[in-house]
Amino acid sequence: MLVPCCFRLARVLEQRGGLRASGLDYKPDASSCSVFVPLGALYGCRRADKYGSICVFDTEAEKVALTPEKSEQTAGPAWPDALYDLLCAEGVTLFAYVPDAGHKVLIERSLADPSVKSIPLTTEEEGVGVLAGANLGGAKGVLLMQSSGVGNCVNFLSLVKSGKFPFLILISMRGDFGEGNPWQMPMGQSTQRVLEAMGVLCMRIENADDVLPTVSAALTMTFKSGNAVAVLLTQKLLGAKAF
Amino acid sequence: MSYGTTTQEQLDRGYVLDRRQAVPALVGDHRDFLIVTGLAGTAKDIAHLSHDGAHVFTMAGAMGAAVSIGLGLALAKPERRVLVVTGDGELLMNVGALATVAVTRPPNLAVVCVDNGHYGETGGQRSHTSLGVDLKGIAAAAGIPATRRVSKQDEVSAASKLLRESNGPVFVVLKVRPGDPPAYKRNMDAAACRLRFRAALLGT
Repeated sequence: MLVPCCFRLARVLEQRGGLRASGLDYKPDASSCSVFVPLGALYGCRRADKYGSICVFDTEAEKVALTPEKSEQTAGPAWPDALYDLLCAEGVTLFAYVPDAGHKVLIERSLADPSVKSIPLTTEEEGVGVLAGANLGGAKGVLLMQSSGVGNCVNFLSLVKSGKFPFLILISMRGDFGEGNPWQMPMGQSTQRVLEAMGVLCMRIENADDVLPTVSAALTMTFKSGNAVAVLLTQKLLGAKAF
Repeated sequence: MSYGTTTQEQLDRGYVLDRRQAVPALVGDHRDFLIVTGLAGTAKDIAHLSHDGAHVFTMAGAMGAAVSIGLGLALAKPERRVLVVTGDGELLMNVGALATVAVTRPPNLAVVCVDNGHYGETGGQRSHTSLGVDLKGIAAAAGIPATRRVSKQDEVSAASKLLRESNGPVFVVLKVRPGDPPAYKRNMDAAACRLRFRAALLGT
């Protein structure tokens, strides 16, 4: 069975001889960072290196996310690495971001990955424009931001709605479950309603087990059925901040 | 402020060129680029020049997004030259985008700011540039490696060459006097224009 994985992982597997041993000559697609490798090759390396979290898809219609046991060296939950692999496997090549602790792994991995482009923004609204431009050029992008920045995006969401742009945001929440900073509450409590008022579909995640299936669904709803979708990573998932 | 005539103050500040001649002269053969425009004035300038071409995406809202859209397009299509043509008011609304262009350094992106120092669509109120703000200086200070100010006819052709040949982001301020852009009725359906643009560029 062949499964998609990110190009960088495939190179690691190739260097190790795993792909050659299986007789598979993989060819990276220039327009995408994903390649197909035998499932066995992935199993062989799951706990062996820093790519410990690998998202694989069943060949059947339903996508199944296999999250391996957390490696001993890795601090923090396993889902952020698996999420990065999922986004790459689905052909996301632009990561536009305003920094937030909830997106730390995605930001760091995108910065370190030569097969994607990572774009630091001065304000979240820039990211809306960047992703629209990426769509005009045939690339898939994702915007990583905190809920505090949703208000900054509102006017630019006119572009998304008028142009029917496929549009995907991953939003780490502030101002919800257990928030300790009163300044975060107004935007956090309005985030979903503001997005929905501008035609963006919202999907909330509270459990680590739901991250990959939800983002996988969001990717399909964005890039296959052409919606604007926001995935809200809640403070139940990320943990509340006291500042 | 009177339109159509050049005042001494405009002459002093370099707002002399007529956009109806200066924009086409600076852009040259528009087919050399994928083009993103701002609203109103620059959208009409380029729609008129290109006959609302499929390689052009014009805006009619989301003011401040033009440079960011151009950046995303340039990153997605590194083998094509991307030109953003926008106004001073539109650019001032999201001037941080120049900082992002500077740090991202797409070699194939050029930005032209058609600067008449005024909000031409809303009654001709003065913008920050005619009150002393120097957008070329901001772009240079942000770190955009190639910047030019064009306010005279004999400066146009070198800047036009720079838009095509620079290996790094380019920023050109084209100073023009306040005055109407050419009249042109372009397609304002953003979804139709998006699909038209992608079909022409990507065949999808």
